[in-house]
Amino acid sequence: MNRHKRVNFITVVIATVASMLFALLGQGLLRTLFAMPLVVILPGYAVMAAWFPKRLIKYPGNALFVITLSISITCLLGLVLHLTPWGIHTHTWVAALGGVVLINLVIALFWGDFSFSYPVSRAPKVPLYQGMLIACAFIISVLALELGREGARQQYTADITHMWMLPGESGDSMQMGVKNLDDETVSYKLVIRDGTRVIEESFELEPSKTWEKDYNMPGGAKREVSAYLSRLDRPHQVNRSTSLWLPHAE
Amino acid sequence: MTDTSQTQSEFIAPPGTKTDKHARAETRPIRNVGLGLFPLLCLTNSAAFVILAIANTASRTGHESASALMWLSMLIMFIPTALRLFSAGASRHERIALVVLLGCSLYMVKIMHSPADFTFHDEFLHWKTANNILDSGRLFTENSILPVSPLYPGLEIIAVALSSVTGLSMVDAGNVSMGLARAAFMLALFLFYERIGGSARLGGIAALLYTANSNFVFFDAQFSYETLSLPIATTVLYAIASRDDGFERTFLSKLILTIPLIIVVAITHHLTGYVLGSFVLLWTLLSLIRKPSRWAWLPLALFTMLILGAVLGWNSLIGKTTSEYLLPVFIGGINEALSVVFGGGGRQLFQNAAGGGSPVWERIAGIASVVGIISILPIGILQVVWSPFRNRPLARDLVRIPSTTLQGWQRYRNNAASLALALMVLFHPVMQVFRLTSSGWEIANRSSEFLFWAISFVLAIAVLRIAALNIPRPVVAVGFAIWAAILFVGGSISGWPPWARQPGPYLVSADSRSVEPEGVGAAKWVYDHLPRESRMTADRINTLLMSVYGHQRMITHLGDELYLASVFFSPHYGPSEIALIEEARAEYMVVDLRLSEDLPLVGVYFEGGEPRASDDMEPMNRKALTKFDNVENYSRIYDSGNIKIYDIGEAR
Repeated sequence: MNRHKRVNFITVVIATVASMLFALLGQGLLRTLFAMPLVVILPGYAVMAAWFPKRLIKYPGNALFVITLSISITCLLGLVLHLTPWGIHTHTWVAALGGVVLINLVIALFWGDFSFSYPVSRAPKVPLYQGMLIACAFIISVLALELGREGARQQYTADITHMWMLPGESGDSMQMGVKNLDDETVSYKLVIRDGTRVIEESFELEPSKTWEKDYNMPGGAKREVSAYLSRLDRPHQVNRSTSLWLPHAE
Repeated sequence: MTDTSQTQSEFIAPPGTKTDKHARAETRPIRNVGLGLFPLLCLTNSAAFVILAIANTASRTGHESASALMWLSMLIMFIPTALRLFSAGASRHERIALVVLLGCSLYMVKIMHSPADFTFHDEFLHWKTANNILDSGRLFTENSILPVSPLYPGLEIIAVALSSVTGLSMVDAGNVSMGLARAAFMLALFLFYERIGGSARLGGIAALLYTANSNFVFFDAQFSYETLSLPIATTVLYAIASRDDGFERTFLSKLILTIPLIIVVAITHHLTGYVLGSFVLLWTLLSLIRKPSRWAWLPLALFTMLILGAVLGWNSLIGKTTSEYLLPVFIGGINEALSVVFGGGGRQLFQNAAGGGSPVWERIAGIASVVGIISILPIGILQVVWSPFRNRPLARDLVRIPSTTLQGWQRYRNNAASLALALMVLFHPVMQVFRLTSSGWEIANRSSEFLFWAISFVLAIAVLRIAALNIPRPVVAVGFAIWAAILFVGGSISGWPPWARQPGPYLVSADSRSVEPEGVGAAKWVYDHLPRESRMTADRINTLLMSVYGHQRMITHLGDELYLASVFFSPHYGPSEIALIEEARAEYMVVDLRLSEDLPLVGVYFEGGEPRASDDMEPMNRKALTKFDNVENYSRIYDSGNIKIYDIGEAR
């Protein structure tokens, strides 16, 4: 076993363990970037290093098999995890994927090889201006995606008010709720009618805020309680209406 | 700095043939600086993304120029890449990079359509299965909006694994995994075509032309099982095609390499599995007939048995209901196609279910695309199949066949894979008949991505033959770019309706165009306030939203063998409607008043089989939708203006 092979082995093992740790303990973008290889690169790479080392040195077939084998091994591990009592969760994924990668890396250490060729290793040196063009293209693409997301966000800001009326804990109780998804603060007027009994409420809601209140409506007989919501700037125009049959089953 | 170390391709000239112009062009050393034009095309594609983002933002407000900007951006991605791949001057590395770049750039068209969430119909079906796995930690959980989806969990397993390990949301994990699959797909296509065609230039052109299939830009970019299964299946084809490349010491090793891939195709998508198995079977049979060597067919036969064993085995053990799901589509399509052939009426082309039509230029492009394929295909087929033709003097005089063409014939005719692809192409005209029918249209459309495995290869052969004729190079290059662009635009047009290609204001029952804040907000309210997995009934769009965002158990015909649409359509709420609701054990009902504003663009408000004639040009009756307000014990517990939710559990 030559030194180069040992160094490669240690490097990949460290990368695998780091990936596992980021998956279990990491947060945010760092976790995403460092844990992703555990699913989409390392399983295929380790299996090829252990069992198909000759193919691993032939670009670009090696890149294709590393990705597709990683996907396939993850799928098969999913089936296996389903059959275990532990099921499919983050920690079982990390254990299964990490286990498969490390076992295959050990096999590769004795019987396989870790050499992986990639285009830059054989292709001519890329001139600086070409590298800058690619970097510019990447930055513009990210900005374009953000521009697209911003457009989507703008469309998703719409004039919507949710109103609801749900059974409470006891048979004669109920819960009223209103959520303002408008761009601006809105003043509402709520009218609840239970036969001849009328309850009126006025309140103001900032964007994305919710108003909720519980009511007890003793009455005995089965009847329909209705509620009407209007904006205070247009008090005679009912915007939303709900109804509930009381008493309800507890 | 120049690169003269590599030749443009691995051109395989048949033994004993003279080196011709075409061969010389392909083996000429390439003098390229660094990565050739790849960096420049990266930049032009990124500029195209900016135009696309502006186009989609304009489309959200209903701006008229949005569609033109979208096509402009797609052509900026496609045409320069087409010209470069057609050129003999690009290195193999550059071709590979360009093919992958094009595939990923076109994937961005789908991402930019809905960058924040999944909005396509089929995406919701698989999103539900993935969420179920994430919630329960188990596979094969019930999914009433597509019961067959949990039985083929390959896609969802990958998305769940990526989401669990990286902390990404399910949508981001799905987008990343589908993006990786797209990159792998383009690479696999290139390598497969290069391997069986013996030329990197042919591989590049064939992979480029593959993007002209009607499902490439949208359907096969969405979070759906076929998006994952196609790249894996193409990798299997490449592995089979390169079975004698000497990387593995024994055939057994080669077989072992492909086993995980084959199993994943089998557990990911039924249709891809069937097509892959059938194609390799055809390849095996042709290998038996062509007999390049005595036992050449045997490894192929083993691969065939492995694929068919895995696909049929999974289908019979796990995906038992697949035939119930697929057969009605095929039977309906075939019956309707037969009636069209024998003089019956067909589908109105370029017209949607609500009576609206496509713009005239789109109709012309769609037809031009079909003509462009069918007129060139015979040249490619001749190259591959009809080698004896070269011995007929009359034929030679008629078409003035150059010596390069004769070499091409010898080159492909002994290649069983090329022959299998050439035979597969013959299904293409048949599928055009299916496109004329209402129920067969789906078969024709869904076959496109599989038939293009063959069509793009045969077309690429034809293109290279035409390029070898004595026509000035710039004329051929420009002609190729225009022809390929027509194929690409026409293909994309025929696969995805105009209103679905870009985001925009709400439309009635129009899948991605019906997914908007009010519906999503209602479903999120349901998630927060109602018990999980309550039995709920709703229209097509709210069924998706309530199932995924609301975590409700939606009542569907696929899941419950019950049609509840008549309950909504009926002007009265009588005993038959009550009986249906009781049989369905429905607890909640969602009514979307917007259904009464227009006709459904996808053809149905609820699901296939609803009590509404296909030629009915009147929207749903609003009174039929508001009739539940007056039903005793039906509580209208939620109101967002257009969407009402009724608690009907107490009434039962």
